[in-house]
Amino acid sequence: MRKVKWFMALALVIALILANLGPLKVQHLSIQLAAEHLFDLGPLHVTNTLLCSWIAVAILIVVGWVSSRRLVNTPAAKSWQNIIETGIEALYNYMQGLVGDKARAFFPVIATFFLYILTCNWLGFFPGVSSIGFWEEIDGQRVFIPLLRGATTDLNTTLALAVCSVLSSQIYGVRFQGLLAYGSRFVAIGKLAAFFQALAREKKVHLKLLFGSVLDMFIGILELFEELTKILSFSFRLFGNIFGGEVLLVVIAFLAPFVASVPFLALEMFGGFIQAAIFAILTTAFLGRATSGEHHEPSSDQAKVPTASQTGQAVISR
Amino acid sequence: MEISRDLIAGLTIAIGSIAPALSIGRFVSSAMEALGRNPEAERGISSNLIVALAFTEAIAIYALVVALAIKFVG
Repeated sequence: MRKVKWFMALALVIALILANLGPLKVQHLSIQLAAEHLFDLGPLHVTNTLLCSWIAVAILIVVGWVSSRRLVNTPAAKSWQNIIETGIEALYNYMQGLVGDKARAFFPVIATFFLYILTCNWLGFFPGVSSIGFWEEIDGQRVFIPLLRGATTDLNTTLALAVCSVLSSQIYGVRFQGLLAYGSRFVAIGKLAAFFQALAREKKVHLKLLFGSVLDMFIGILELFEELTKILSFSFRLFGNIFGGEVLLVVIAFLAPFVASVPFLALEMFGGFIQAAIFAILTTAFLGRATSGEHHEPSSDQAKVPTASQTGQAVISR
Repeated sequence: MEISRDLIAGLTIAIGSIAPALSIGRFVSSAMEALGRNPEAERGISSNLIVALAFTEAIAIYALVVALAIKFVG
């Protein structure tokens, strides 16, 4: 054990010396925030991140096809089906702990987000991705353009994912609650209607209801803004984490090309997994919130379904 | 006097990471306390801790994104 440690330390020192003396020193540190444009496919502007996201899609399709080609009831221990099923089942069980019975309805969306983001994040760590490319003259400067670059290091990809996530929460909300019930979350006119009903019936102004309706309207506007800011926070979180990780790796590789970046690679791979999980968990939570509607007029819900403890108390108090 | 973009980018991430650093420290300290009191609940505590840490870290990441944008865009 001791010998191994000594050997590793020696290798590290030699690598550091080699890296800073010899021709192996990395000469050029290039960090590009925007994805580089490769070629045009009709009206489509193909960048290196877009190419990488297509590869991620292809990988997912191929893995899905291979693992579900011959479905059997009891798959062999080392078959593709068994491996994939284990992962999917773990994901499903975790989701069930979060949202319960609705997990079955949410699972396709959430699992797609998770698997796609995870593939995109980890694709960036493959050797050759963002290191194989070509030099190009742009504005009199020689610029290195990598052929592939991790798809989530582009704000466009993460923005599209965030928009999909927020849109899916709206769609599920409408599907589970109906358009009117879900829309009343943003345009809260329930209390206003009650106020006018009371006014017409009793010819008396209920100030409390009026104030409540104004407050509800205001909260509805806030909810609308929350949906918009969700897109921003979703996309920035994913993009910033993955891009920041890549920048960290590049800088570390610039300082010490050989051994020093290995722990950082491990850290960033863990970070990529965590970010994919965070995206999936957050989307699950927002879907759960959009479909439950229990933050909305809890009194009427309780009136419909009295719980056991409430009825018990009522009996006792009588 | 002109202030360089590098300085502003550096200040952005330096100031922006103060609050997340403090709150991450607070999260971890309370998680450690909870672990010390109830070592059986390690799985739940650590998974919740990681989720909370990722949220907090995201705030520092926003500052990082802004800093990167200041440095590299425009």
